[in-house]
Amino acid sequence: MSTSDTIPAKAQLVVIGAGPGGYSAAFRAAELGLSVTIVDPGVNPGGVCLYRGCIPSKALLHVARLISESEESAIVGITFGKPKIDVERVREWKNEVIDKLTGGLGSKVDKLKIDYVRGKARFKGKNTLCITTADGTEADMGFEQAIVATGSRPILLPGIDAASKRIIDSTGALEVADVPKSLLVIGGGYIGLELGSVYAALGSKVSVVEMTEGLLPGCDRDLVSVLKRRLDTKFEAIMLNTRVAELKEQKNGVRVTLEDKQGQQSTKRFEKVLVAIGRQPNTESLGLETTSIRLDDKGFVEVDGQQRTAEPHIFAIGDIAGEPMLAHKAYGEAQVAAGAAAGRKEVFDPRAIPAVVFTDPEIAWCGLTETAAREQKVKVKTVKMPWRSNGRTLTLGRDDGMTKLIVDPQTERVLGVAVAGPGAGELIAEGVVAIEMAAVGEDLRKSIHPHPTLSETIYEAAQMLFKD
Amino acid sequence: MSLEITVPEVSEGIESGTVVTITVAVGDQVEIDQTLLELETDKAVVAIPSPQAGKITEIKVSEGDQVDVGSVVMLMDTDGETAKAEPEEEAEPEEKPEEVSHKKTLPDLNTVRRGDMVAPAAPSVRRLARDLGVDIYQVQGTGPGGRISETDVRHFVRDTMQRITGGGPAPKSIGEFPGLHAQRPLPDFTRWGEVSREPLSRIRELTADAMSYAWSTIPMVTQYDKARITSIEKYRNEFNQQAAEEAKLTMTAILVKICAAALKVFPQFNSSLDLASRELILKQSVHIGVAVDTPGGLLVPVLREADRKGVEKLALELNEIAAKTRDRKISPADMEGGTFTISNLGGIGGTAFTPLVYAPQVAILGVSRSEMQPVWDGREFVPELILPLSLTYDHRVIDGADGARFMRWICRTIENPLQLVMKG
Repeated sequence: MSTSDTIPAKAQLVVIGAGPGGYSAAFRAAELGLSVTIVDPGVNPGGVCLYRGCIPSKALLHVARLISESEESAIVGITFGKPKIDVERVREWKNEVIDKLTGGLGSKVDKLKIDYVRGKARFKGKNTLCITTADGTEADMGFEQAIVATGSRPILLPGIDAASKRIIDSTGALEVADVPKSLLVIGGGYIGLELGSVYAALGSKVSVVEMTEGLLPGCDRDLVSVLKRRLDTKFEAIMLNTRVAELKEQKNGVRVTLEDKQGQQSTKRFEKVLVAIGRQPNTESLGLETTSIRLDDKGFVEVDGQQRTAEPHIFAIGDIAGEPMLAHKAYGEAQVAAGAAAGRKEVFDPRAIPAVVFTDPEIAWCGLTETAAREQKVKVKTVKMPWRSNGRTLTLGRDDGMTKLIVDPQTERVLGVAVAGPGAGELIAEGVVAIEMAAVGEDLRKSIHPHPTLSETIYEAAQMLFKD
Repeated sequence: MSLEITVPEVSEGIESGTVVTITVAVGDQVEIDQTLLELETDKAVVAIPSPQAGKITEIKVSEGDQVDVGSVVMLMDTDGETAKAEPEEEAEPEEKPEEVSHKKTLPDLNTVRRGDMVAPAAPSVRRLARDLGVDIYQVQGTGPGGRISETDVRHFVRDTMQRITGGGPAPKSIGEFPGLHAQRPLPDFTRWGEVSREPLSRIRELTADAMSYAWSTIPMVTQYDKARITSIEKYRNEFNQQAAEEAKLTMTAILVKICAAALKVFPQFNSSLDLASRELILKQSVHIGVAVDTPGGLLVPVLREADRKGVEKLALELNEIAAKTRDRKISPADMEGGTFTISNLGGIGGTAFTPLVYAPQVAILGVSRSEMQPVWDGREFVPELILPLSLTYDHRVIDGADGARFMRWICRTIENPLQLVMKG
């Protein structure tokens, strides 16, 4: 990809940040005929998702899957020797995947004649950006419209040295510098569980500590319990209702003081600690205070349904524009912002944004959850189809999994779909389409699903809605 | 204790309205009678007051929603003690933040995100609705589970167009003259520069309807005259020096009284024409409407039994009802049943104008700005404060000579208020 050495004096549309939100907004806007400039410190577009998030973690989870399948294949009569793990090659392969994807994006930047400036941008008033390039050059650039997509970063524990080799965040964990003998994951959310699964498969003894009473806070408990049954066998320990009181870095590990609900303290030592307690939006060094853009009380940029900020010619999308902080939400918002910038009537109004936890088994859901229905006092009817009797599940050598439909009790309109089990992330797409199309239970049970596949569980769950 | 706040019956015959403003937020402590939301009905914008003091725990509607009389719009915690202990977030609807931060009187279809479990429609259908400027939340779905199809959206547009242009079965609101408000196709204005579009407020829609009905069905004549008000103004100023703010005497209040008396002398001005039965309906009571300029548009509250009240009482009532109207706290019932209307633009300026009769009334008095002018008294020019008046009347009911007599009577009475009591 060719990057600009000089900073252009003016841009019709500037996109700040080239993560999934930024690059797809830039591509869409260029396709709609706008002249687009991207400002991002990366060599190629990609952002956290490609460089330090979704893609590398999924590459590593694939490795984990291969290892655990080779271990579990004995039951079907195939025994492998103990796998030899070449961590360097694993890392290399993961980086090849990243390079391939980001390189592909780079060539699309060229193809769409998008100006790519490597650097960081800061607002100087509502019509000017100050850009600092990688080599330290600084210059001002005027713009007509802007899309801000600067994403988020892991939240660090206070008092922890960001450069620490032993106490790392998700970015550090994805580097796979080595495979520690023991690893403590702080935070039982999806990032902690996914990366914990990778290291457990690579051979680390992984423990998870979670402050609340369950893993994956916010997710329906019946789904979590499908996952937890398996994680209990893969992880050394899962400590719920437990708080980290102190982390002390020592020369051969980290001494961790844990405190349970009763206030009882215990001390353990781990070779490494992974902090995965959440992410925060990157809004600080953007110079937003020189504009009238407002942040909400959680630090996200306030936007309307077209992703416009309080400055109507400046849009914000992706992680800085609010929960959920997911790449595919950013994609959706990018389409809206780019369309609106090009003068189209667009509005971001998804009925269902799917969430997927790429552990083994995977957990995925979209639309209304049972938990949310209870909190919001929405009356729902729920059916749950366990996978035990599904042909495809058994032929995969598994019997764990569940498909759940949440429907309106009066109209049987599908309000939520949730799946736990291998491949749940792929299955949930059908649920999203069903909700967006306002499908009713009858629609799902009258759609012929291929046999034998896991997707039949959605069809079978829909059958359960009907007595006749 | 949790209290359900429902939409009260605001006026006879009104079954629903549109929420234009929500004036409280979840968590707010409100007083009894404090305005919770404003409802725009076919007749007016009505403030819905709180029936009790308490804390708002949930708001079930958003601005732009259509609500029926009797439906629950908010939940309130009336127990002050427990209200504080309860976590505030619990009852808050999910989509709340967007609505609060982008408060608008009318929903802008492009920018409002709303609760996502209503209006079941596929993304393609929602897009179609957006392109056609249709609020998908108003479309009734005919598919399974209330699903809204492309056809439902098209039917909604067709029905709306028929209602506006009178192409089909006309609804009751403008049923008298289908086709009356037909409009020729508009050119594409963007060819000559940027434009923006905003939806008509209910008040504007009704004003447009009433005015075009009057303009196209009533043959109107306007009669101009002038009254010397030097002495009446002197009296008014002296009176006002003593009077409390709410009792201040306005020229409009005086004119209400004089017109009320005139309507007794000229009863055909206090009538309505019933063409269907070929009768003139003469009204025994005199209720005078006064046009009030509000930020939301022109409204006409009515002063009841104006012929039976003294000027002081009328002044007091007029001040009160005008303030209520401007604050949009007037109820639709307060604007019904007028038999004659006064429109005073003197406060703004102008030498004369032609008011339009407010059907089914038959006459309206327009008042312009008074001005000091030289008047020949037979020997010399003396300075006199002159008030320009214009009377528009329905020529089907009132002849020109009667119009002139009516106006003269009014002017003479302004100049010699004794005339008010000459006949009882």
